[in-house]
Order: sequence, then structure tokens, then C-alpha cells
Amino acid sequence: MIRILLTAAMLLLASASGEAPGEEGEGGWLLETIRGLAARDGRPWAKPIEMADMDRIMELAEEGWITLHEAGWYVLKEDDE
Amino acid sequence: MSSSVQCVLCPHACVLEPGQRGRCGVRLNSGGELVSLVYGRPVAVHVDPVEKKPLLHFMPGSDVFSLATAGCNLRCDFCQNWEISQALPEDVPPYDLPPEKVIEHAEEYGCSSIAYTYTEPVVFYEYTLDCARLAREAGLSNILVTAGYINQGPLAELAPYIDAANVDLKSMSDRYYREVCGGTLQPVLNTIMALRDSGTWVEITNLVVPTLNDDPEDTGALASWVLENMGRDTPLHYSRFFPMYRLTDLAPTPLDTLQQARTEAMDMGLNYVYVGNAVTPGGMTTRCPECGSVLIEREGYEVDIRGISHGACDNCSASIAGVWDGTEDR
Repeated sequence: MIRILLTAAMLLLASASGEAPGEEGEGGWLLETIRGLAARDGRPWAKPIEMADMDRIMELAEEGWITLHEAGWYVLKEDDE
Repeated sequence: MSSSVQCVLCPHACVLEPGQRGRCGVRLNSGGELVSLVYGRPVAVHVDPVEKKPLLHFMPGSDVFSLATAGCNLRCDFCQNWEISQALPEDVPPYDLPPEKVIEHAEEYGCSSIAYTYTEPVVFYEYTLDCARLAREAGLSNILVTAGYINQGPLAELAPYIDAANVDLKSMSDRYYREVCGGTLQPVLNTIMALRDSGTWVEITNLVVPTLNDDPEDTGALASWVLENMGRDTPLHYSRFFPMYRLTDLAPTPLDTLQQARTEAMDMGLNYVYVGNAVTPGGMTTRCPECGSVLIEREGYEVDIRGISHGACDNCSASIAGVWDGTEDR
């Protein structure tokens, strides 16, 4: 929802600048940013990927409430991937 | 330097920066390594009749040691267990139950199987796999109750340990999966067929939700897929929806809708179609597809095994699909 509101606000700003989509300049930067936000989550219909509160995670792990058990089935991503 | 990781357990394939957790809420990038926050930390542990899974052709009348951790990789608007499936592991008090203890408790309570159920066992994959391996060694069966949203590689690793599965096939519409459940359809269909191919006994449940997937075309399309891809002996359960989670404004599924779906699926050629979460005439009765004799009568979770022995009809000796394992001979 926040992303949608942010996108709408940016579109308003872009239209106020009088630029058409794809144009260079400030409006173009805005559109690029919007595209970047959209591309970050290719699954907008799914649950979001979120940042965890790592301090709380570590605290609960120490208490035994949660685990930090090594998981399988993942790959490391290079910076340019 | 800490790296981002990509979880490839399920089709979401979440790319996670350090400190981020996947869509399931329980798999986290901790300093460049993916970790499970819920290994050995179930939040629901019960002994259930196998009929509650529901599995009606798998060791009827047996008890199942059932467990779930927090988390799910889907977000179904109708989720019946949303308090734990949509919760983060930080927010639900867990039991400390490592796999060895799971086996011990299952044996102590006289259970013949362990079920990974209630939420979504895919997201507590490592725990499920380790429990399942130990259970197999101990002579216990493993039951997976799942939405089937998992990639083929991890499923291939797990499936050899799974004796029976009930897969929730929510709709035959990919749009429904995206809009109502936050997933996609094809991986679920792949899971169902892969489980079948691995030798797992598979039953399928379809929760019939008023106005969303209750049109006869929807329930019929689903029955048709089961018939064509799984065969006429695969049990199909049409389950009654009750208002829950984000769909509290809908009424429970009318019984007529469920009965109609069942009748049509049986008319298509499916041998075993049931109505779950509701009491309807014959909706939980297993009949011999050859002679029509009543084999197993059920009322709630009470089971009356009256016409089947050694997996065959007492009346006409027709073989009845399922895993009976002598349970029905008691």
C-alpha cells in the first residue's frame, strides 16, 4: 500500500513537471525511480519481503524462542546479479 | 562482506538482503546465510484422527501426531489457520520440540503417523525433512498437508519420505491463486503430479468459497483436472468454507453447492468424492465403485469400517484404492 501511494505521489509530481514518460530530466529520474521500485518486487500480489528486526531476532534466538538453523535450498547472489 | 541470497525452496524465489526474511516470514538472510527461524519450534502440536487431515483412504481410524510451525508462503484471504500461518515466529510462543522428541511423543501417544500440517510444511522444510527421516527409521508414516507451493528440487528430496499427502488445490484459475492466495497455480499442479509419481498416496482438497470459486464451472474444471491427470481413484474433497481471516463478510458455503459439486464430479467418473467440514447425506461415506456397497461410514471423525478387508470390498472383492495397511481389519 505504501508503495502504491508513493508511486501515485511520484506520478503526480512527474505530471506536475509537465514531462511525458521517458523524458530526460527531473521527471525522467522520477519515472526511473518508480520503475526501480516496481522491479524490486516482481510479485506485487504476494506477501512482501520485509526487513527483520535483527536485534529482536538475536535476543529471541538467545532465549531459544526462535532458531537460526542452517537452511538448505538457497544460492548466494553476486552483487551484479 | 555479507551477501544477498536467493531462497529456491518455493516458486517465490525470494532474493534477500542481509536482515531480510522471505515471504514466508520464517526464512531469513542472517549475515549471508539462509537460516530457518522455526526449526524444532512448532506452535501447534496435537494428536488428530487421520480423517481430520483429511485423508480417508489412508489407514482409516488411526491417530496422527500433528504439528506446525508459524509461517506460510501464501496469504489466502480465507485461511482457516491464519492466527499461526500468517504470524511471524517472534509473535507466537513455540514448543521446544526437536525431531527426536517428535518421534518419541508420537510413539508415546500411540500414533502411527506424523503429519506436517495446519500451516505450511514447505516453509519449515528442514524440520519436516529431519522429522520424516527419523519417523521412517522408527517405522512411522509421514503425512504432508500442504498447499503444494514448492519447487521440484526440494520436493524430490522430501517426497521419498512422505507416505501420504493431502494437497489443497484452491482453484484451477491462476488469477484466483494470485489475487486470493498470493501464489500461482502451475507449481501446485506440478507438486500434485510429482507426489503421485513418487509413490505418495495423494488426496486433494478444494475449499469451496462462496462467490469466489463456487461456480459449477470452477468445481467442475477442478474435478476434470483430477480425473484426467490423477485418475478416477484419487479422492477429492470439497470442503466447506466458514467466514475467516479477511473473508468474514461471506456466508458459509451452502450445503447444496457442495453436494452439487460432489454429484457432478462423481458423474464425471471420479470414484471417491467427499464433502468435508460439513454433514451431508453420504458426503463422508466410502462406497465400492464396483457394486456400491458401503465400505466405510463416517460421522464427524467417528469411523465405522464395515465393508472392506485387506483393501478389498467384502461384497464383490473389488480392490479399493488407498493405503489400508490392515488398519481396516481391526
